Amino acid sequence: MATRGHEDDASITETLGTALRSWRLDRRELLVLAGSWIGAAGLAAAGLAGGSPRPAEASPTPGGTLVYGLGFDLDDTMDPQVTNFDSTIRVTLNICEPLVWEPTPGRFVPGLADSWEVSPDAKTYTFRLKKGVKFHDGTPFTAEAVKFTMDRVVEPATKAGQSHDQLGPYDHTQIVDDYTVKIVMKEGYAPLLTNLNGYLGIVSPTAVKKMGLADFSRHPVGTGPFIFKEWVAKDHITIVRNPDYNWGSSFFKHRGPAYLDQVVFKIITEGSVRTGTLKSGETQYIDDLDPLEFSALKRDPRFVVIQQGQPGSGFVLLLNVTSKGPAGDLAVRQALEYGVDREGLNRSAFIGLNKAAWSPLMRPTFAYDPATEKVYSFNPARAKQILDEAGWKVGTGGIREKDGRKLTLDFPIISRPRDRAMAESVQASAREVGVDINVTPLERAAFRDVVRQKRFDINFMWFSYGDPDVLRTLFHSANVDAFNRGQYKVPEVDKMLEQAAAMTNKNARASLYAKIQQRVLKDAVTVPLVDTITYNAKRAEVQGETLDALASYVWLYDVTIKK
Amino acid sequence: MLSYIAHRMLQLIPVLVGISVLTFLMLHLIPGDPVLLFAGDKPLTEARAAVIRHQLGLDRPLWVQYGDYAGHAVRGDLGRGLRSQRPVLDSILEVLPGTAKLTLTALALAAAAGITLGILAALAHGTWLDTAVMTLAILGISMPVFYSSLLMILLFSFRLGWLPATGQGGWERLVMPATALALISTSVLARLVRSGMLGVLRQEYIVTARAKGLAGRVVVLRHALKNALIPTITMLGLQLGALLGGAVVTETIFSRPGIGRLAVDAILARDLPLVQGTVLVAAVTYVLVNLLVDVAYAAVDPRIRFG
Repeated sequence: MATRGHEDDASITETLGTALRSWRLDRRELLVLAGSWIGAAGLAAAGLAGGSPRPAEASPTPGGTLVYGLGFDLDDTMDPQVTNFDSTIRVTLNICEPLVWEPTPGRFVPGLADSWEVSPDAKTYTFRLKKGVKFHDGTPFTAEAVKFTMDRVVEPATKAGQSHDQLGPYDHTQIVDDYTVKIVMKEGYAPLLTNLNGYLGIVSPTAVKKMGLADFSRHPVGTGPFIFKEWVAKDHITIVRNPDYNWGSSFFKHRGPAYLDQVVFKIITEGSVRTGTLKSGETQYIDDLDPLEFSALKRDPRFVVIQQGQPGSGFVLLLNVTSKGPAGDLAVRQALEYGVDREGLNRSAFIGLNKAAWSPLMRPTFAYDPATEKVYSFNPARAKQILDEAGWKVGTGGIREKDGRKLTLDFPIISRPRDRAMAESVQASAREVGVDINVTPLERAAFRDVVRQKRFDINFMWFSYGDPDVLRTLFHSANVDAFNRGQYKVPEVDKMLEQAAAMTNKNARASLYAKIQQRVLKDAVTVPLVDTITYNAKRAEVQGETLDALASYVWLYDVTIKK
Repeated sequence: MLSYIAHRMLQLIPVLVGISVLTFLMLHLIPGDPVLLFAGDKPLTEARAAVIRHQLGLDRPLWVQYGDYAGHAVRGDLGRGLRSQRPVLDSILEVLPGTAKLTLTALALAAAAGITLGILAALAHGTWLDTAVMTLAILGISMPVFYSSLLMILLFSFRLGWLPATGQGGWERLVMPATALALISTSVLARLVRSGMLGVLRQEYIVTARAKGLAGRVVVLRHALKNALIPTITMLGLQLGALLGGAVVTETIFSRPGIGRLAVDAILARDLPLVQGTVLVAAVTYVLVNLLVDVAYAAVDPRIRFG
């Protein structure tokens, strides 16, 4: 070989043949060599790979296994009162049942409570509980469990998550008898019923006390139609049918045990992969469907796309009214109301699948005021007029100026694709009327810091919620350090928000919320953009599931998989 | 040799101390408060955040926090994850086998394929086989891991339905992620082995070996390859580090639990004890791998001896 230079243009067979022949392998040596290579490769792959438990695969028996592709991971705990993630509740709601279910906004059906009454001042909630219900650990479900669940939310040791905000101004729970319980609030709190539907699922007091918080968070115990089986972190959660279950809500189509043998929630955060697994059959139901996949799946008869608007507050801009910059000027904010092209944003960020919004409340929400659709409209000419009249004259580069100051607004966002697309659309429409918006994409933690220091003029907000009380979260002066990013402090509005939260009379509430919606729009502290719509998808043979009123949780109790 | 190894293991201590201090400082210097990040998209109010911060001891002075952490760490208690309150060691040990399997499989595949291709290319030097292998190598190095992963999923899972796209357990879930991870390392190793072999095959002792009448196989494997292996062994060690890093992407795309994802999620959540834990594990791995590489030198090259 050393004598043969690479300048010689030899044929491959000659070269390789010579090389191999010079090894002078006889048949035996060849077999040994081949065998050892194959063996080595085989060991490398198979030997190291063996021995792990496989997640269950769909079985042909009646009932079957549903594989649900979760788009978001859990947040390190399966304790419904401790978690902060909707994705966790998506799983735990099948294990820890609520007192009431809410299938459509404002409509409540019996869960663990057969019937209930709310005092007119929304302070006392009386529940009459189902009898003969047992937890998965065999202990009976009584009023004690309800008291235990609510009490633990406010106990510091629990380190409660979202449940804490949802329980509101909780005072105490009174056990009237084994099957009657009164939940008493410090002040009137109308949204309690809708909030019972998720993070306040009832847990077994015996199990929590016996296991301790850390273990319970990895093995929740409730009364649900499914029992927790296993949780492999970041991989999957398996729940199996509860054979003793026979207290199905009257809302559902049956009472006894669930039809499915088990449900495997697989965590697949990568969107395209998740959709692919639905198409290949590796999953049968997925959530958080990418709008891009929507039309293709809709046309395909093998799949069904589920599309449902959420109640609460949709994608809106909150404008910092206390800003020392131009955002503090009402004229500038009003100009944005007229200048932002909501349909354009819908097209560029949601490929036209969304709906333009004109109110901080979304249409499915109780007390949504349709009159808000007339307050503003897409009218760039009007926007320019307002700015001109306020003294903001067009200067260099098409950006307006007043008293030597440029009309520049700071808009920090979390660096996610959808946030960027929406921000850029807003930025483009604003440019058209001479407003310069400075969009700064940040990593989540850095973003939180900027928000905490109030260094912004514009902020995104969306808050799906079952009750118009979400307006209090967004606009009450007590929340300026939380979600009232607009720093809005108007005493009359505060008063209306407090009153509306503390009454149950629907008409009275609706009229107050109508006034509030009109007022926050008039003050232009919020620029509504588009709704939040949930897109899930399933294979056509999956039937019987219900997407709840919040368009977030999927109830799997009635689900069957057709063969 | 043994004293050399003992000496190297002792060096682990300053490394771990230095890394833990650096990590601690870095996480506190960058913006972001772990307590405010607890709640996903819906953050906590300042009042509740203050309560939680106090419960977790995050409102103590930095040097107190570090001292407390270090004191526990030397006794083997790496603390508890801020969010899960699970012992950090448990969280890491839960996912470590998965990453180890993936990384070692990828390394084995890369070593087997890379060295073989490198030898073939060197022996077939100047022919189209050589060019083909080198072109494939360039393609392998240039393709980002997420791209090759997604392509493989598209082809083998969705189009052909041969392999599952997600999860762990069983060889059929290991083969695609391991191959995707191995592609870059294979290419790097192939090129390295090829150029090493070419250099070595030109040497005079090869001519001598042939002149002595030694079989071609002996010449290639025992004399040539062995000498070409020294830079290759270094590269294998370095590739292990790259594979551990690349595992993050692979784990995300294939929805596999692993220490890469654990670390990234912990960083994004500013979960300091968990980040510290994963970084320390990574540091220990690096030091041990380096030690292994150096010891392997001695086995391969009799000229290298440790005093």
